[in-house]
Amino acid sequence: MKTIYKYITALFIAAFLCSCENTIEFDGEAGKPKLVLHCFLYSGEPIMLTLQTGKFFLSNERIKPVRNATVQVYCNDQFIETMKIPNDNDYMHQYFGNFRPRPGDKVSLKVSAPNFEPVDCSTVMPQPPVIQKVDYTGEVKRDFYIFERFDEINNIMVQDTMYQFDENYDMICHISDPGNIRNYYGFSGTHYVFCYEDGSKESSPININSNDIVFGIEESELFDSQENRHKIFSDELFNGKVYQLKFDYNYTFFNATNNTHSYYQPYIKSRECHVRLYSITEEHYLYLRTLEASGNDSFFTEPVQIYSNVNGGIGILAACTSTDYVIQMPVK
Amino acid sequence: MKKNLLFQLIVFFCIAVSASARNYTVSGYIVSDKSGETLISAAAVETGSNKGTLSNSFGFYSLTLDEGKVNMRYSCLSYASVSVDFVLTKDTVLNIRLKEDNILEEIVIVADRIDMSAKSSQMSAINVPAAQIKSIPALFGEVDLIKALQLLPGVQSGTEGFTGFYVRGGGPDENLFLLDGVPVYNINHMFGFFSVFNPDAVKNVTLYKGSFPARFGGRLSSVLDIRMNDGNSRKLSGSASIGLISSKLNLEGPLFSENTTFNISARRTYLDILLQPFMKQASEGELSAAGYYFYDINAKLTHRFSDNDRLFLSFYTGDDVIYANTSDNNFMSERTTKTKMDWNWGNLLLALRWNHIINNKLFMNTTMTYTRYRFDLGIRHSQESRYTDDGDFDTQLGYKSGIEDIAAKVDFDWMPNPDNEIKFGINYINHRFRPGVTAADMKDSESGISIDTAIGDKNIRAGDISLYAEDNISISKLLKINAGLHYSAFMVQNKFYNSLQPRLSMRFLLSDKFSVKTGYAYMSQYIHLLSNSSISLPTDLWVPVTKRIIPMNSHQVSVGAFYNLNDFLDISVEGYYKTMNNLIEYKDGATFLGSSTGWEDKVATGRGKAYGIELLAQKTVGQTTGWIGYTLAKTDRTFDRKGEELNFGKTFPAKYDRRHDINIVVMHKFSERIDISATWIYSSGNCATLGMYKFEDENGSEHIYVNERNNFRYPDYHRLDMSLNLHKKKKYGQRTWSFSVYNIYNRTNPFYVYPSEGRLKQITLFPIIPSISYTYRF
Repeated sequence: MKTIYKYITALFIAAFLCSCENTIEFDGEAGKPKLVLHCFLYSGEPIMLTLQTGKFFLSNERIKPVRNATVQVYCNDQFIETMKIPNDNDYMHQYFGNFRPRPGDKVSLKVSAPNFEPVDCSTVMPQPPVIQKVDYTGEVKRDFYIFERFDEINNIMVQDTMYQFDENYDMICHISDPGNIRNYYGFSGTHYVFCYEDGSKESSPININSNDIVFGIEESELFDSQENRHKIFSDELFNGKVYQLKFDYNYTFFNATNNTHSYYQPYIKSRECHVRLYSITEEHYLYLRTLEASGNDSFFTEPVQIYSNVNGGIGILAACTSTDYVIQMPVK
Repeated sequence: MKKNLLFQLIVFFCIAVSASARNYTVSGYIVSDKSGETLISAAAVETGSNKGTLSNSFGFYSLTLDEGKVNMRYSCLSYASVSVDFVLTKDTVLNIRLKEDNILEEIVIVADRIDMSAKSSQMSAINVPAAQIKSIPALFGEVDLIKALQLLPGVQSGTEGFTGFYVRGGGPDENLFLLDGVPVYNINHMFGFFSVFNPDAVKNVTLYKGSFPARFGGRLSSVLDIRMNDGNSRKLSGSASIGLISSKLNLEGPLFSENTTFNISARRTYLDILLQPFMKQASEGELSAAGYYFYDINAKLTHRFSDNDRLFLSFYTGDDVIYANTSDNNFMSERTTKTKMDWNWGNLLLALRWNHIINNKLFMNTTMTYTRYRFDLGIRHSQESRYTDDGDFDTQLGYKSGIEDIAAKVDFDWMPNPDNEIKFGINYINHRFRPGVTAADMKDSESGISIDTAIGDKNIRAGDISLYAEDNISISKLLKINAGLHYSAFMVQNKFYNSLQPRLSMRFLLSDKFSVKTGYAYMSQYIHLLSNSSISLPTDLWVPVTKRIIPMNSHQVSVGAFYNLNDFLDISVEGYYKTMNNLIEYKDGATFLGSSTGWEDKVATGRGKAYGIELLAQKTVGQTTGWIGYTLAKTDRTFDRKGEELNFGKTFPAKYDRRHDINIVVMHKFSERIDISATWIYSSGNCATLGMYKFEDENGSEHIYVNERNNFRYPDYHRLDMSLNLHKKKKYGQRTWSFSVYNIYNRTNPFYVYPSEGRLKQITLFPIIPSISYTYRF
């Protein structure tokens, strides 16, 4: 009987193993390498972009930087400058320019390089977003420890105080959205700015949590979940209105002082929480959304088309402006 | 002006109907002499006046004629014709028994020649007898109704080996499958390798691809009307069949008397039983049982109270089951860990039908139906200690989803005169959608945690009502019209949708053997199937329209020419153009696996169009029969609504856009003992989306760049299948050995193509596959 089983099993296994894999020829035109351009414009900051090759998917060549391209910048259809790679640039595919775009500027790029199809792209710098106010409620658990340490300058043991702040804040950012046009926002820039006693400043990002409906984050159930890593959203749900975007964060930091110089770090004189909201272009929004989605595709999903506004090439010319709403926070 | 026109129409209608005032009606049932089965689409023709009609789905016919001498001729495919001469002086009931034609017994008919002949006003429809389905070579020797229909022009299969059903550019959820008038929501077994329709239980299949009669509605692309056998009223008969992967049993016969008949068919796969010992051995005893199987049970009980009243009770149940039980005994800790998993999914259908002949011109069919598709997943994981309850836990996870309908309908066939065949009726369906609920029951003695909860959407109820009226009108010998209206309304979550759908088809009979037909149909659909892949997964969910996702609709125009060549070859050419609105497609990267939560955000709505030409040449008489079908088609989609763009708003080919399909089916009967059949299938490659470039983003991560949806075509698909049947009369019946070979020249057809290491790799699912089955009929 077992022999019969073996034969039957072997028959089925053979059938499914024969469902084999073989190599087939690509029945189409092999694509020439394309220029891949990435340029993110920040309001008031000098323009910079990277250029690389995008290779045909069956090509075994490596992706290479493109260093011999001519990159021309136009603002409102007026030629501004030709971007260059500085000689001391470590990243040999980064092109720099002096042009600093402003909100409302239409910025265009025309790029040509030997052996590549020329590419062009353009975008309009968005207007900065408007944050009416930020409401916040929460609690700060403060604790302090007194400890001794060796003062190397005076060669003595000194007492020092270490403050610990455990903060839990719920915040509501009131965004005033201009009507009539579709606006896109990014909300990944909330951070602290520490102002030290010695006059220096330091910025520290805060990881915020938000399940606000605008992010389209889906509760994970048995099978699926969805992220919005870049915290970007559109005004689809609040076009022309004031929207109250809810988020919260947990943050812990330490401040040590004995009213002289801290052994560990300078005494923090003041602390600001900057709630930063970006206004981004539609192209930027689509690029980030599709880029994120492309990392989640599977056998069961349609492959994601990563957005590109580079005619003749791949990549993105994106632009953003930002607004910070500053909240003074306690330090002691 | 409108009122005046309406009045004129009513007057015309009344005159047309009352024209029969001095005539008499011949009516009755046409049945098989051998089995007593009612015959569908059998012809009843008065040869003198050349007036005729076809029997309806229950074998009933009615023909009103001038009084006097008449010669009635009754005929049906594979049956010998019967002529009856009599003088018609009053309304007459004439039940006819047709004998199987031994000479033509081997004839296997593709499409009912009368129904599809040049004379009928119906177009874009194919009537397929069950005998034909059983003759076609099949994968693993498992005859399949849906795969047989894939061989007809206008119907495309999806992925090789699967029961994908794509009609004239429509999607998989745009087909209405009716089993004895009851909708079937999941037609697949084994993830789509086989369909739920057991050919042993099937009497007749009619596929409508366009020019839909007004009595049908609810789907955009096709209606597949499957009728089950009533049961042999003469004697107990049946068949038993053993195949490579399943066995089947069919029994039918009279119950107590000829007036009550039954028919029961069952099949089950047994791969799980055969492989059980090996799985245990492979898992070193941990696996106590595991496997997969599916089964079907079709049953029908028919009772004839009188010539005027018949009652039918139809039943179907079928399930796919995956099970796995493991047990691990740890002798050191004296703990036993057990895992038990059960997946069940399947349909349950029940229909109670009452046929009543109100008078010899009016036939009533009242039906109450229940249909349910459900998917249940249960996993239990537990650990027990022999001496202490430390570390014991018991976790149960369950997931349930499905759809359930309770429906009632009344249909009337009214044949006031030979020039008018009127059908009208009303149908109400109460839908209950179960969009997916996850239940968890956890008990952990160590942590003390005890959870008993359920997460998921609540059931959604919806009301679906439809009314229709259609008239098959013979205006003149040249012109015959089927005109109708279908009204449907759908109520869900305080939202009301309705639509009035005109249907029209016209036939211009240019000679007795040549006609030109044209038709128009407007269809509307209120439910969607959420499915993520080209194969059928049991987690696919039916959901109703919502406030945001409005009903789909389509307009289809078809034109065709039909020619009968010397009663030898039927040739038809049909062209169609179809537009579809409010279609849904998944957004890029969207995934759906069993949860309907937020599904509206994952889909985009857009439009599509499909057009093509279908050629069918079929030989229906002689020892060699078969057909050649060719389809030239194109279908695309455009999703350009703001915020819902697919392919950046540009038009792209639909997933199953295929330019060419050729199907050649040949059957030959050498003698009573030997017959063979062969099919050759060729089709252009399916569409797929391939990333044509690789690039790095600003952070150095590599990505694939897709320039367009469905931008790549798989290699062309073709294969040849053959089968040989050896019959032998035995003492109590007839045995048949069937040998078949699938993909006889071992073509490596593409199932899936993907890039790897600079090359394109192709997965082929089915190489050459021989199979054998044994059937005994008695």
